[in-house]
Amino acid sequence: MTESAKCIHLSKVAFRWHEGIPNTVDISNLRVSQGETLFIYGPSGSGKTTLLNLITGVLLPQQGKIGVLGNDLTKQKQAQRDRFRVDHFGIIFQQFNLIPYLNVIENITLPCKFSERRKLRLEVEHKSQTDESQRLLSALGLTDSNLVQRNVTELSTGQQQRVAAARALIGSPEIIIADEPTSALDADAKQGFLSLLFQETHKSNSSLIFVSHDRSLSGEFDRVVSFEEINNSI
Amino acid sequence: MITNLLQLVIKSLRFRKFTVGLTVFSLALSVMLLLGVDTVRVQAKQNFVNTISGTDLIVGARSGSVQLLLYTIFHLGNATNNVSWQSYTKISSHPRIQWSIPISLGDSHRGHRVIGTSSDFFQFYRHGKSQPVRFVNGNAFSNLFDAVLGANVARNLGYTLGDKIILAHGMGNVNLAEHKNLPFTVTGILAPTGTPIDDSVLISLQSLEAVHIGWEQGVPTNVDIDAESLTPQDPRLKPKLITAFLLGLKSKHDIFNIQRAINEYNKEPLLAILPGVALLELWKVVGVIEKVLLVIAAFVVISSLFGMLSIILTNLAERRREIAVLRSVGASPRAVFLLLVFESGMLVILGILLGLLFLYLLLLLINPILHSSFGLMIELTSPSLFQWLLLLLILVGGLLIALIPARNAYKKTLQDGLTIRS
Repeated sequence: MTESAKCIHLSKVAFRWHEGIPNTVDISNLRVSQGETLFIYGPSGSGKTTLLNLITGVLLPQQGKIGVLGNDLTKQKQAQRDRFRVDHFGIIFQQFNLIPYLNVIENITLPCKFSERRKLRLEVEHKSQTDESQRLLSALGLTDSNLVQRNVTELSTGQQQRVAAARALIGSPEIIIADEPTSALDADAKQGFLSLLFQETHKSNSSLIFVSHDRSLSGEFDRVVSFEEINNSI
Repeated sequence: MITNLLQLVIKSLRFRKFTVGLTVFSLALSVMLLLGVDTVRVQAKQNFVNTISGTDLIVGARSGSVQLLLYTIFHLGNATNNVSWQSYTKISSHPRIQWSIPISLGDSHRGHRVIGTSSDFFQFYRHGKSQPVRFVNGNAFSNLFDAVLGANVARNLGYTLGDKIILAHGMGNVNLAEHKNLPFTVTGILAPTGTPIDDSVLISLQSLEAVHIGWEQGVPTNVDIDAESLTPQDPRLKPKLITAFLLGLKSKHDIFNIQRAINEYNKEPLLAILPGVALLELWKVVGVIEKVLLVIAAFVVISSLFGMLSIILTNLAERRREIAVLRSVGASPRAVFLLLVFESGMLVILGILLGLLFLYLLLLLINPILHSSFGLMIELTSPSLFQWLLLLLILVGGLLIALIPARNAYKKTLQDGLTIRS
């Protein structure tokens, strides 16, 4: 693996919520290269989401370095990390991904409101935000054109997760973070959602870090890692 | 970034129309109440102070200055003593005095005060901003048994020019001895002034003497006097006592000299007061009520601001997910903080604007009622400096209160990170 292809590098990272309690996350070494798809599995409550909070710069570790695209997050200021996050990460949660008072298109284009970089990436490719949102929606299997006008609270869970995926993908961020995004979906929808997500991340050569307790989803990933194996604290 | 946040704020508020509407409505009502109380308070004071103007001194028998003001101008209570006609003519003929108006009280007509005075009243009496009394119908008394009615008397009792009225001896509504043998003819009706003049019947001093011929004991002993046998020149009609009199001086510089001279007048114990000073003294007593009202209104505003706080805090619990999502798309904790402050600011601004709208609608609506029932004229002007200050205070207070939920959200945002809790 060359140095330039290295996308994420965690070294000797330790994080605990409070003083005097054991570390929740203690990872000596974790690397993800650009375009790689990584599946991290582990039981719920084991600290997987905390790891994602560290990688995205929401939480800061007490020890260690978190390098993302050549930047050490632990050396950045709060505001810098906030900007960095939206510029380079697309994030999909387990559920409740959407802002209830924004419509489908507004939800998808939200990162472009906070990130100049993702907005510019669309402008360079001469794509309007609305057109790109609609392209992503149909690529993710939401072809119903009436859907756009609908209130997001009227969408099914599966539809909501696809809208969330479109939001994570818009403006082609380098890293897509998915935190149990399929756990609210039924088995068929899970596979469908996953392959669409792969298709789109490959297209933009984004790295994908996918966290789940459900190992059955790991089939197509470049690399599969057990959280308990990489996390020394357990 | 700020415009993006404001767009989010507007969409978020629109999404929660119902609770937002209720909060804004309650704020608007309290703003309306506060400004309404202040408007009425200021205008009532203005009206009160404007009850009499242009008069330099009020002179009566020696008592208290507020008491003298109350019975001569507000027709409340009775004089403890009278002023002799000799003193009146002597003082009013002083070379530094420009005009004088005698006032004689004591009789009534169906609950309305009768003022015995001279025709100088119509020439020199001023109220409001130096407004003279104006006739809507007819003119001042020229014959002995002519009467001029205040606006409310004419309207309440339905009198028109030429109607005959009978005066009663004393004040009150029941079982008063009446001056039945000597009816008066209505010759003039005055325009509304918003002062106690509106509830008065004005007659000449001579006619007041005439109806009391034979009443020296307070009850009629000789009632067979008829109007035809009396002329204004009749020596029996020369006034002997009056209640008080108003003075206008040639030069304002003399006010204190004349006042001292009257107060030291050695033939009779008299009291001369400056109406403005006495009015303010009286307002200090009455004015406590207005202050209490204002304080109550201020508390209503404060309580509705706390109502807003509790609604925002309740919503905040439901909105933790929303905040986590915003964080994931790049909103900083600072942006979340600003979002909530903007939201409250918007609520308060909407509340203030709606409150102002309510206030002016209400004033438009109740103005005719206030005018006809209380003689209170409320001008629809833009808010006063004090009122702008109150509004600014509400806005600042609202924003300060908004810091509480915003700070909560900020802290939770830092703790929760991207974790979504349902």
